[in-house]
Amino acid sequence: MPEVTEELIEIEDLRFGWPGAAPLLSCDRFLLRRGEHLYIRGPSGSGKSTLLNLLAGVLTPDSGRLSLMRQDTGSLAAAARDRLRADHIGFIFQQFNLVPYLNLAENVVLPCHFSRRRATRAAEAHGGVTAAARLLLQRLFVEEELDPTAPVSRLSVGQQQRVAAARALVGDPEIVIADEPTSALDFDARARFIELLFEQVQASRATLVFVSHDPTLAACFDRTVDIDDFRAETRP
Amino acid sequence: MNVLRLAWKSLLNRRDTASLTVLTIAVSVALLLGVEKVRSHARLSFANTVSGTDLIVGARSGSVQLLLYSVFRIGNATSNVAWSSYTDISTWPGVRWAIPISLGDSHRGYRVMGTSPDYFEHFRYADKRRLGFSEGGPFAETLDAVLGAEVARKLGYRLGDELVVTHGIGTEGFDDHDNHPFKVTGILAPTGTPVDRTVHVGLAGIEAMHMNWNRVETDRRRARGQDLTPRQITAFLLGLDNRLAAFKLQRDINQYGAEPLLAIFPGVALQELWDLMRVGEQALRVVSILVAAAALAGLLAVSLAGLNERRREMAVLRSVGAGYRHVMELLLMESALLTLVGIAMGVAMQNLALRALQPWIVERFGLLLPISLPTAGEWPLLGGLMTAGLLVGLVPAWRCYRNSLADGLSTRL
Ligand SMILES: Nc1ncnc2c1ncn2[C@@H]1O[C@H](COP(=O)(O)OP(=O)(O)OP(=O)(O)O)[C@@H](O)[C@H]1O
Ligand SMILES: [Mg+2]
Repeated sequence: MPEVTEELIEIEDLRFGWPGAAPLLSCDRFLLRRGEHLYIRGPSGSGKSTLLNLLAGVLTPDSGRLSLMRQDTGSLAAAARDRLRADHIGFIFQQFNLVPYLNLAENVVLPCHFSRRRATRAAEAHGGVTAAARLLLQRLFVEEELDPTAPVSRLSVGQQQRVAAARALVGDPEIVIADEPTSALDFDARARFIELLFEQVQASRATLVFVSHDPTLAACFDRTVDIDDFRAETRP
Repeated sequence: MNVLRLAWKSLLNRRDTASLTVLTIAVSVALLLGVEKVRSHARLSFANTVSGTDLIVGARSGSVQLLLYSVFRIGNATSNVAWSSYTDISTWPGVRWAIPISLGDSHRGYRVMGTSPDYFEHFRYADKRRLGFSEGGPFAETLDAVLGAEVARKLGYRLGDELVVTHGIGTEGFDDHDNHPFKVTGILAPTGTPVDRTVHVGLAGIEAMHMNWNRVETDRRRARGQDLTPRQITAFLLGLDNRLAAFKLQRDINQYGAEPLLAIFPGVALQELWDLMRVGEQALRVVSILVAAAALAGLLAVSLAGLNERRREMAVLRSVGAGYRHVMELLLMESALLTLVGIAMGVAMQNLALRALQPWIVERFGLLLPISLPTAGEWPLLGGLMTAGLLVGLVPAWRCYRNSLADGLSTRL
């Protein structure tokens, strides 16, 4: 096992606002440890996705510090932040996660093309990146027969989200970030997706950051925060 | 899967617009290459028409005009050269050979040229090549004719066939069955020059024809000692012992006392002729470059239009770890692939078109355009197009970089 950094995400005195807009996010201190399952709740437009962009190192704070894997993203070059994201973060969007011109397995192994670390991990654990992808797909599609070389265009939204989850998990990144991954799913599909996601995240000891405005999901998580705690205008 | 394969799959996914873009690039490449090929070979075939002739002498007119009618058989002489001038000058010191040329008659659309048998001895074309006979030999009798390769092939003449020469340059003379004065005694090997389209006869033959004599009549008159020496010819070609003497000789001929004459260096006149055609040549080139520019503008439009639809795709790629560098590489690679495939298809198209049109071009313009892979002269053109394609690719790459900088991963549709 590679060395385990316990504090995966660390925030200090962070301030962020989109260019030309009022300050949006503000946070004095926040810590996320390995294996934690964090639920961030908040209404639409409150800045949840913006926060995730900061956590993923796509955006950098206007002031203060945000450390990812003990590295201050603000002081890293863009390319180094991209590499940090590729190596340590799996990302799931609300929908339209998949690259339409790649088949299922190709979509899942995609992160391994941008991160040697994840490619090596997947290969070490399963004998190859494609084998790792197939295994993950098998686990996430327990009920249905699935051809890994099929095009993704014929999948249902729920199936697409599961492929996206497999992709976020391939090569065992330390952090899995999910931006409302269930909001396009119906009730049953949502429950099944959450269940599968938790299973896989636990299996790989990943930290999960899950954003939603659906309060019914909060119960599954061991830690829940309100986006208001991160918002510039609602904080005293 | 590297970025190249990603780009390839992405293009396959958008194969409709991609293939249209490739097609426009291909058409422009084919056009560009075609124009270039015509240009360079027209020039080459011009230059190949005459070689080894040091001076061409005719009545005083323009040097280009003299060149055109004497070697290209285009247009007509406005006045002639006296036979006496020819015989005089051909004896001047330094003159190694002199070949008279008499034009003005035709046979079924092909020019008839009266000359001396020396023509086959001294005339050179292309890289100092001699005229060769594929059948028979030079004319010996007064009413013998030697045909250019194309004349024989197109009109189906064999050795021993007889043919009628029309006075003047009409396509069709009246069909005179009793009057078949000339007999084919030789057929020349193809040269790719106007020689192929010429009927060669002796000067005496021209005279006899103008008298409207048939073979029997001619033989009878000659037996009686009738002189068939022409009084005038159209022009003559000179070969000199020493090329350095050419300037002096040219000056002397231009100042010839008995009648106003003009002596030209074929190379200089060819250059002048080429300069005259340069405007057309440049216009052709500009048009084909504009077509290429339009194709590249199409490429730009397609990639920029695609960019908006693909913001999502880019955000997904970014989320799985692609850096700005990868995304820009992807877009550059796409433009590069489209341009490259377009160029390859254009080269193929140009070759196919040439394969189909070659016989017609040879027939119509006497220009043999070889079917070949791009030549050394054409590679820079293709390289320039490739570079332009890459530069065009920079625009969407840059735009995409700006987009993803502004969007983060939270791209909305
Ligand atoms: N790329 C951007 N450029 C400028 N402003 C942005 C951008 N993305 C988001 N914003 C603004 O930031 C605020 C928060 O947006 P964000 O997308 O983070 O909200 P959210 O909580 O994720 O909402 P939702 O639940 O609807 O996804 C909004 O006011 C939005 O207009
Ligand atoms: Mg959002």
